[in-house]
Amino acid sequence: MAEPIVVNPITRLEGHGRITIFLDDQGDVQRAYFQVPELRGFENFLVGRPAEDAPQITSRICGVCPTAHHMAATKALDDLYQVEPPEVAKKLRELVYNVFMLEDHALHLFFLGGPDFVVGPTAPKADRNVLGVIQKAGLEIGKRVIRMRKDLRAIIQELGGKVIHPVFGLPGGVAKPMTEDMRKRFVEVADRGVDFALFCEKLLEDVVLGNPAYVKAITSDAYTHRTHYMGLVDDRNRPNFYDGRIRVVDPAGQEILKFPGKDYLEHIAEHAEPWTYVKFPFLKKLGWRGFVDGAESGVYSVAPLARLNVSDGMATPRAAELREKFFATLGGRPVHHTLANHWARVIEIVYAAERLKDLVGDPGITDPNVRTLPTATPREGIGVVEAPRGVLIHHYESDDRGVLTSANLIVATQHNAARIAMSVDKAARGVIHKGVVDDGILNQVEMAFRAYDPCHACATHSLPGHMPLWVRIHDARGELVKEIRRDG
Amino acid sequence: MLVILGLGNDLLGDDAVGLLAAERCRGRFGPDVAVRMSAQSGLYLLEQLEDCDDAILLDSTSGERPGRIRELDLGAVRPVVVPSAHYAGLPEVLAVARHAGLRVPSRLRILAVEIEGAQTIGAHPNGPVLSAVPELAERAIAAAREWGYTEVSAGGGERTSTG
Repeated sequence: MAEPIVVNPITRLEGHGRITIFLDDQGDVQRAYFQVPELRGFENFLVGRPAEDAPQITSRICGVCPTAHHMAATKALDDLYQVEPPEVAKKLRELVYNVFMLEDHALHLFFLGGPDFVVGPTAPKADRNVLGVIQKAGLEIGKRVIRMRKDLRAIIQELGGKVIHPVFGLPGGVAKPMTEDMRKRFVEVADRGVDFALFCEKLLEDVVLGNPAYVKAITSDAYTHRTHYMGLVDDRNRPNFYDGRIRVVDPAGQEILKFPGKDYLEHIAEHAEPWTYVKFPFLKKLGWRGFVDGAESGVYSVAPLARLNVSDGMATPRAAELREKFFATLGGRPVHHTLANHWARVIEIVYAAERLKDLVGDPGITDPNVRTLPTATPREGIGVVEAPRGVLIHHYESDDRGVLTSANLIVATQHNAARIAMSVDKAARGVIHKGVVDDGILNQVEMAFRAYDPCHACATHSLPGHMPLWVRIHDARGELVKEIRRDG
Repeated sequence: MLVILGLGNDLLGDDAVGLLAAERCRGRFGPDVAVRMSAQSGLYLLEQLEDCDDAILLDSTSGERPGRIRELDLGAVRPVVVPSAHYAGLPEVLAVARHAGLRVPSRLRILAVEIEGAQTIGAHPNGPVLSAVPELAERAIAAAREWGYTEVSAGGGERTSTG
């Protein structure tokens, strides 16, 4: 049998996707491990800083989704200072947040999901990249995506001050009201946003759903795990990216938990493994039973598919129709196929655009009273939002002056860590037999985890910017027999 | 139109070197030179580069001699298939833009300071990396001059996003 697994500790903010595979005496996979990072370093960095700096500091965690951290931190500050923002401030935050979700999801669809579906999983590797997508889908589409994102980001810039690290959220509200002039311009962008979202959806239907081979790929066992799902829902159990209660359903789709975000520690615990710094969150109610799926296992996942799985409907009309079609096509709720995340993401693009349109059309959105000044002594605050990749939790404690004494962040990739590890293990088993290791393992494994869009080295971007991927394969004696690297 | 674009994360210690150098370039040229800074990566860089004729990028790169300034040849860094939006690099960005017919800089220089690794959280670059900031800025300014951009005494730099 394989030797005990020892993988040297990695830097806390991991820059490599590292996969370690142990083979048994027959040369088949005994276990594959995929390491994902955690963000403890940033948590330490927050201690000793004024609480109101948190939305700015944490937005630097990720160069791709700063708005998610900014918003979770802002909500945590509301709680820390025990202050209720005015209704208009909540609407403005939700508006900005839906703009962010729309542009982030659009990026993912075309540049990440695209290679798997628009070009096709069997296309030559060289074509299965962004250029391949643009080639297949047409240059105009590529341009349209880029232009739409630019318009959307201009809204975040105007309201948030800066696109990358917005200075929008404050404890008790937001920094800037929306003027009628801004609103009129945003209405126009929102209209185009809805058109764009429906165009994305049509593209997916035409290219993916019209092709039985793709549907077969989505539903193949290789990319299927029957886990629990977690997501934020409103009071009618419909997904909401900005606010709501955390709902958890079992692998049969039945609700087993619904709780306010501030109670997360009562329901989520973390499991440690000797081979990684990453702690694997699991449902306390069920306990940790290993990297297994099923109703008995505490493993759960988040992200677009999870959000649809935990919901009973969608709050906007077109997205609601598309949700129905999604479940009708894939065999009912919940759907356990990881690759269905790409389709779920398109439905969320439509939802985000429709919700944006609703919010810019709200007559109260230009109310200038956008902040309730905090007066209470700060103590402890928890903020939860749905990041594009799933539930994001910020938890702070402070002294009486509002200087942070502790911080705990749980990002979507952590929630998904166990399921990603299971996907990678399954993919490895599919491509390694009797000691024969196909170099194509990189593609198989990548396809398994790309649907989650895990955030690994997101706080860094030294040139050239690629994530090096590193697969190490050990035989039954623990000897390294093969190493496949794709350096950036 | 030239963009001098500083890249980095100002909370990752040495990684901020490109931002600090870009800051020093601000105000040295007229309105035909934009000085920008970004903590973003991958395809998001497109928005900083689009519609510019020329670009000078200031960044960090992994290396054995922290503080050494290197000029990177973009041609040597080929576009690859990346598994996530988080990992698309400059070569992918430019390939996408050119392929889609977008206007991106035709002349591009990349000046990068070697750092040991961008994994260390901290507020400022240290030691030799910090010492390299003035030279990095001066090399960027010299490169702009070589391309025919004229220095002015003050003002003119466009401030967009900061890292």
